[in-house]
Formats: sequence, structure tokens, C-alpha cells
Amino acid sequence: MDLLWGFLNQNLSGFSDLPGWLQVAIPAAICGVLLITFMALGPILYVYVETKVAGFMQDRIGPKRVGPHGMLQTVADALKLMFKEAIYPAGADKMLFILAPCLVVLGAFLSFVVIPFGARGVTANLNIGVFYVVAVSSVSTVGLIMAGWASNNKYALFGAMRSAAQIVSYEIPAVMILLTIVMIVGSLSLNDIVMAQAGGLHQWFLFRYFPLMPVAFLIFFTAGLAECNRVPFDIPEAESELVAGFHTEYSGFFFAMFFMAEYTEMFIVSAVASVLFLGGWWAPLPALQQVGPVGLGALWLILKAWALVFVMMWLRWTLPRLRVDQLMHVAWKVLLPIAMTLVVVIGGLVMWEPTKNGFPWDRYFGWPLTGIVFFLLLYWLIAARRWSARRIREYAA
Amino acid sequence: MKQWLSDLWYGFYTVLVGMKITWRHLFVDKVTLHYPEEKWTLPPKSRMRLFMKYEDCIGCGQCARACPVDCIYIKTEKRPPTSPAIWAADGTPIKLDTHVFDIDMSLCCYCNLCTYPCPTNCIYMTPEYEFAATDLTSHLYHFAKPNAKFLTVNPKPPAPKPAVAAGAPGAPAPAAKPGVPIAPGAPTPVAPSPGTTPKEAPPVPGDAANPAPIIATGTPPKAGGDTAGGGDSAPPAAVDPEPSKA
Repeated sequence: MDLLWGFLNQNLSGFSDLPGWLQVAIPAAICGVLLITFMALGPILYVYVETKVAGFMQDRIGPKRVGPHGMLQTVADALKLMFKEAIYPAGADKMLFILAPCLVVLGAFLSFVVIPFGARGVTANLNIGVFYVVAVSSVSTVGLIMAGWASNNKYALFGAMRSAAQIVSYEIPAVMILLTIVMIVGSLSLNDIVMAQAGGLHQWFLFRYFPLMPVAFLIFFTAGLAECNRVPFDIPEAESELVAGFHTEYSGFFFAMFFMAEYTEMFIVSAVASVLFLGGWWAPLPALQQVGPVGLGALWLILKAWALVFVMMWLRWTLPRLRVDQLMHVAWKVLLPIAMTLVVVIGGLVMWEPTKNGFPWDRYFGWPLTGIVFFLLLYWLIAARRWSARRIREYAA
Repeated sequence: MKQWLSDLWYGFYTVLVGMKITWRHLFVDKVTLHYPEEKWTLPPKSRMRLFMKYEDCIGCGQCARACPVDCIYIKTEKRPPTSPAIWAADGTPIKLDTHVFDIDMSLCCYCNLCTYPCPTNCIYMTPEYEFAATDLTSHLYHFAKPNAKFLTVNPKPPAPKPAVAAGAPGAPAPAAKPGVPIAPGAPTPVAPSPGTTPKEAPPVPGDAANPAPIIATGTPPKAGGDTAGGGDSAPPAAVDPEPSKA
């Protein structure tokens, strides 16, 4: 918004003569429209990718009929959901029933305000950005409980209760990990956190304090996965146990809103994780940061977030769902002790002058680790092609 | 503590193993068949829609008796001795005029049991499987053709008689039968009347147990030409009550 305000001020004659509240309101409205478009259209893309990834991972081809390669399938689905009738169950609290999906979507969308897409490309550069993200993402929990309660349905209520238990549990390790980053940077602003990772891939927080921060990243990502109710932590909507969990009774556009919130939240968790650990809008190489005068910051952030979203989908089609007790076990007995240890250890390391910005050997790990990961992915790809060819040969024989 | 750590490592490691497998499957050739465009060629013995070659049917009704769901409806009538002799493709003489040969594929359970007893192999299952219909009655296939062209010469003439007697090992089984053909075909000339069920040589044994498939119709067959079937095949509605009774 800062950027937009400057742009309008310079290029639009008479903008500075407007009354003060309009000078704030107009850029805010433009930002809002941009973000809401991005957020509303994003899920259409994510759902398409999800169905395709699901298909490919199960040796199928996924949607194919509507549009080229089935690209318009989710558009058709979204349109269908919009025109469907919203059914209110008997005995439902109608006002809460309608309010719940709105609150869930609100919680997901509000987090977008502080995510920095560039040095100045942030809607509101709050100095308590991290805190804001944590606070606002809990709003959707209220929405989930409201949905479960207002539906007047036992499965919905089960789902809501489970989601409350789950999100409360997983918020704690996630916030602990946030705390380590905040201690290293010394600021709660997301943009400050990104600025502290300037200078290429080896400066990213993922590769600082070598054995410690990768563990922190894993914990944060796991907790984030749980917070957006994704497999293997999807017990609030466990479709094989509770019909569809908290959104059992929802139909039509309200159901679409829950869907939209889920996929938006996936993107937000991924974006926050990439801001905290993967250098936000910094390119892996400083040379890739911009092409001529055009900065690629937003592109890099979105790419990183999408990569993490893909990992979420990958996990979804890999892992089975946890039981409720296993879920609590993971949160309280595994993630939380490690996270608390990390807070203490990294806090100590930050206090000590020689390791203020990481271990001395950190610079030797960034590129090799990234290389190993890419090598493994490539190797598995080749192995898959070979395996496939062998299978076809055996089938033909 | 040691257990905790090893559990932790085991959990992490198994997740990686699973992710490796799914990543590999991302790039494996897909097995999906785009059905309406691509079709799987079925194996030659697949059991799909039934087919009956009317010209080869001798009207013995063994298929109808073998059918566990009674979905084959046959109405036959003894062929008058005045009409020309006809043969199935394997040399079996056809001594019954089959007026109705209907198969209700909506009842069929695709067990293939009807094809085994058929003495002339005229009923068999085809690999044809795309016969979905919006109307259930369109699954009732009428195979009796009023203008069917039957063989009027024996395709496998009987072995020369004077050499050996009937039970000789040299004489092939199908060829032995046509030795008895037309003349004794109607030893007891019973006038076809609505109430009577004339018992014919092949279908006799099961008749008492399951009389449904084979009954005589009141319409006298047309004697002229080489068309064997009666001109009017009874509508399916007339056949339907029979399986419900059985």
C-alpha cells in the first residue's frame, strides 16, 4: 500500500489535494481488490492442481474433459457451487450458520494483509506482523466451532471440537518456532524478517544454525499443516469418520467458502513459512532478484509458497490420517519439547557474540543441502521412468 | 529417551519413504483408458451380450432349461411333414419351427450356462458390451426371424449306410442322427390345437419339470417355401408370465 500510495502520489495529478482519508482509502481499496482477486481465484488453481497431483500420484490423469487438460473443471465446479441452493438444516441457528463460513474466510483472508510480496509491496507493514498472523489465523478456529455448533449435527460438532483441540495444540509449537526467528531478527515485522535474510540462499533462516533451523522449519511446517486441517491432520473433517466434519451441513456457496478458506490458508501457511525460513521475496541468487527494472520479489515469494503448497498436496496423497490420540501425542510430546528446546538453545546462541548470526559453518550447508534435495527428486524421477518402462515391458511380455 | 528418539527418527524416515514412493508415481505412465475414445479389446471368451444364430437353432430348448434366471423364452411347434426338410449348419435336422426365441438381457446373469447344452452351438456370448439402453424393454432381444434362410440340403450327409450298422465306431455322432430324419419326424400326427403340448423327441426329458419354455402355439405354420418360422412371432407380453410362474 505504501508503494501504491507513492505511485499514485507521483503519477496522478491532484491526488495529494484529496482529503487525507481518501488518500488512505483509495490505495487501500485497490490493494483490497487485488488481494481478494488473488485470494478468490487462487483456490480455483489450487483445487485444479490438487486434483491433478492426486491423479498423477495414483497413476491416473485427473480431470480431463472440461477445457484443455481439464483446466476449466474447477471453474465449472465453482460456478456450480455458486448457483446451488444453500440448505439450512432444521434446528440450525441460522445467523451463526451463515456467519461461520464468513468468519472462516475472514480469518484466512486477513492474514494476507501483512505478507510482504516485496520490500514495499506489503498491504500493511505492521510492526507486529508475526503476532498479527498468529492472532488472525485463530479467528477461523472460532468460525469452525461456530459452524459445528450452528449446524445442529453431531458430526459437525465432533469436527468442530476436534478442530478446536487440534488448532489450540498445534498453535503452541508453531508460535515457539516463530519466537526463535523473532529472537534472531529482533523484530516482529515480517518485512524485517525477510530483510534479515538478504544475500542469497545460504543466508536463509532454513540454513542458519545448521542442524537446528531445519528442524525448526519441519516443526513449523508440520504445525502449519495441522492448522489448516490438511492430511495427515485432517481429523476435523475426517470424511471416513465424521461425514465431512464441521462442514457436513453446508452446501452451495457456503461450502465453497469453506473450501476457499482451506486452500487460502494453505497458501498463507506456506507463504509465512517461506517468509520465515526461505527468504521471503529474496531470490536464491542475488542476480535473479530482478530483470532490468522489474523486481521479481512477488514472483519468488509466490513460487516458494507454491512449492510448499505442492509439498502439502504431496503429503496428502502419501500419508494416512492420524488418530486423535496420536495427534495429541505428536503435538504435545514431540513437537512441543523440541520447539521449546530450540527456543532455549537458539536464544542462548543469539546472546553469544560469535554465534549471533549463525554458526560459522552455516555457509557450507545451504547449497549442498539444496543440491541434495534436488538431486534426490531428480533421481527418483529417473527411477520412476525406468520403473515405468520396465513395468510396461513386463506387462507386454 | 532413547525410545523417543528412535520413534521420532522412525516416524520421520517412514514419511520420507512414503513421499519417495508418491513422487515416483507422479512420473509413471498413467494407466487411465479414455473409455469412449479408447476401448480395451476384450479377451475372445469374455461373456457379454448373448447372441443366437437363428438359422442353426433346432428349438430343443435346452438353453432355456439351463438358464438359472429363466431369461430365454422359446415357443416352438412341430414342423409339419409337408414342409421341406431343413438342417442346422452342423448337420442336425431341424424338426421344430421356432416361432419365438427371445432373450431378456436385462435379466441375464452372464453365467454362460446356456451355451454349453446347445447341441448345435448356435447360442453363444459375444464380446459386445455396449448395449446400455434407457428403456428396459429394449433389452429383450428377438432372435426369431420370419424370413430366415435355412439350409435345405444336409451340409454333412450321413455316412454310407450299408457298410456298417448304426452303432459303428466309424460313423460320426452328428452324422448318425440325420439318418433318421424326416419320415419318422412325425410318427404321431397330432393336430396342433391350443391346449395340447405335443411332446417331441429332443425336449421331452425336462418337460414335466419345467414346461414353460416349450409350448405349442395354435397358429399353423406356413408350409410354403423354405421359410420355417411362423409369420407371426408372439409378442413378448405373452411370454412374460411364464418365468414368473416358474
